Amino acid sequence: MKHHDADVVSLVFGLLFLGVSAMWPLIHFEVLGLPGLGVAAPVLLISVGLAGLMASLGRLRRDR
Amino acid sequence: MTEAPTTPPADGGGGSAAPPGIGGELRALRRSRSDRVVAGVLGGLGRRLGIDPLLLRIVTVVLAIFGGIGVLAYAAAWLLIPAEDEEASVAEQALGRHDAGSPRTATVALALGLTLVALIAGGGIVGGDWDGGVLLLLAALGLAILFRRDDRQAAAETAASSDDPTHPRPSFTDYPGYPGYPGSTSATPSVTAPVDDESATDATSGDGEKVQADTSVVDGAEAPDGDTSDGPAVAGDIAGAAGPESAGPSRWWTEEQAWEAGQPTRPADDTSWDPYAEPEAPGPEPRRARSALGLITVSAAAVAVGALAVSDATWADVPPATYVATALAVVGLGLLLGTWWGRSRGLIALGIALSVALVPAVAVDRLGFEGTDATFRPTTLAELPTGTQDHGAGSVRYDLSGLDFAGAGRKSLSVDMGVGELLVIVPPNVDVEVNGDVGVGELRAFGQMSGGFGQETRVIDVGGDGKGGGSLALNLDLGVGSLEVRREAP
Repeated sequence: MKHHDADVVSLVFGLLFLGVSAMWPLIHFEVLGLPGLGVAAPVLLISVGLAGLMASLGRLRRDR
Repeated sequence: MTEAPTTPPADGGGGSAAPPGIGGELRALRRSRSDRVVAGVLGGLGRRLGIDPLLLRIVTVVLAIFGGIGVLAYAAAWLLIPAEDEEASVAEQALGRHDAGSPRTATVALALGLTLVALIAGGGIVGGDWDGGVLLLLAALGLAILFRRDDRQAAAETAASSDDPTHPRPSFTDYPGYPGYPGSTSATPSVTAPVDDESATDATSGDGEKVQADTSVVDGAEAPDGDTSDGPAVAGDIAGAAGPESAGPSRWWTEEQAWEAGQPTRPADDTSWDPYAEPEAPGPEPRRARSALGLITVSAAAVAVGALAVSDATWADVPPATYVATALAVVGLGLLLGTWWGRSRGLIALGIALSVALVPAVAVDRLGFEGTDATFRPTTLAELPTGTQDHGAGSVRYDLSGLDFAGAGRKSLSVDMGVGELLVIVPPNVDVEVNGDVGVGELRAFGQMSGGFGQETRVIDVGGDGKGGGSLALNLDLGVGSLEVRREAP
């Protein structure tokens, strides 16, 4: 496998899937109830989205 | 919705006039690029079947609402059906179709692993220990991809890479031992001489494995004993490759020349050249090499899920959603790795399918599918629950035998349960009206028994003392299982 420029699509989906899978133990061990999930899901989406945005902007700046 | 699409059946993909059977028909399916709402699955399917895609969309949405099957089926189709302008489906790309190295060996290993997972999951379902349905579905999906992939690979290998002089790959027909070989001896190093003899006899006797193994030796990519489990596919290769060979032997000669020309560093008569050695310089690649990351990730996920299944079967108690969450985490890691190394975008579709599967798995967990064994024994009438009591699954018992209903007016208890055993015990003298509803299973009220589908019973029983002794209404609703109401002294 060769090193290449950061692939933003992979980054965003990778973080998203990791975040979603991390919610399962939180729910299972009742750290996070349904109301907690209502907070955690947007937090996850926003942080993943921000990471994607930053990576995209970084790449745009480098391309220029 | 009334007008049928006038477009003729898709010409893309299949090409052949009469696709052979349902397999060929399935392989010819393509996701539509132009007629799409999400990924063009239904657009492509509608065109192929000559049905208005709108109809298919409505059916899918309805299926998605009732039970979520529509979503799963759509996700699976998205994974498995290639887009119009693409050769391979997302899943195939993720698994690294036509990967360098020994794809057959990897395929066989992966197929065996998936079959094992399917067997474990199937055994779990039959044994009723844990809910392996999701796992079974995933394993079946993986197997479908593999077999589809192997089919197409065999077909592609009959054409071999001989059409592509920049990417030469020696075929077994390149050996002098093969009957149709044009007759050159100088180009082939003497080291391979004994192998040639074998290849000659085996090729004529039609033993596919050996020939495949010999080819692999020179490829330097596969162990000499090669794979032993897909003889028929290799035999297909031979049949396919023998066709063009007999039609024009000169073509193979020129290819041989081109191959040798492409390797100027290897003198034809240099005996020090070891054909078993890895080629030190792979040379310019005509197309982008498939990244191994997809295959690695899927394999790692399979190993993780398998390890969970083993621990579930032996010592630990693993809730079903853990399987899905673990696979999803591995896919996420693979994608994260793919951000900087290799390519793994194909895993996205897999991750989406797993995320979708995680929702019902978690829901089942929250409802207590593992089975809550609960007993409720109120000691005063005030403790008798008033609202409808909801239970997911398990064995639930309401023991009301300690209550004195006499002179308390009419009381009621409503219980709604999904799957399992529901038992309500009432004191000997209370007048009881039972409204029982069992979807599938057995209903028993004061010794009266009925079983089967859709049991709805209304039983009134006044107890041993005739009328009097208080009054109780039981509204009991059970999806699947056994429901019983009986009297017992405290």
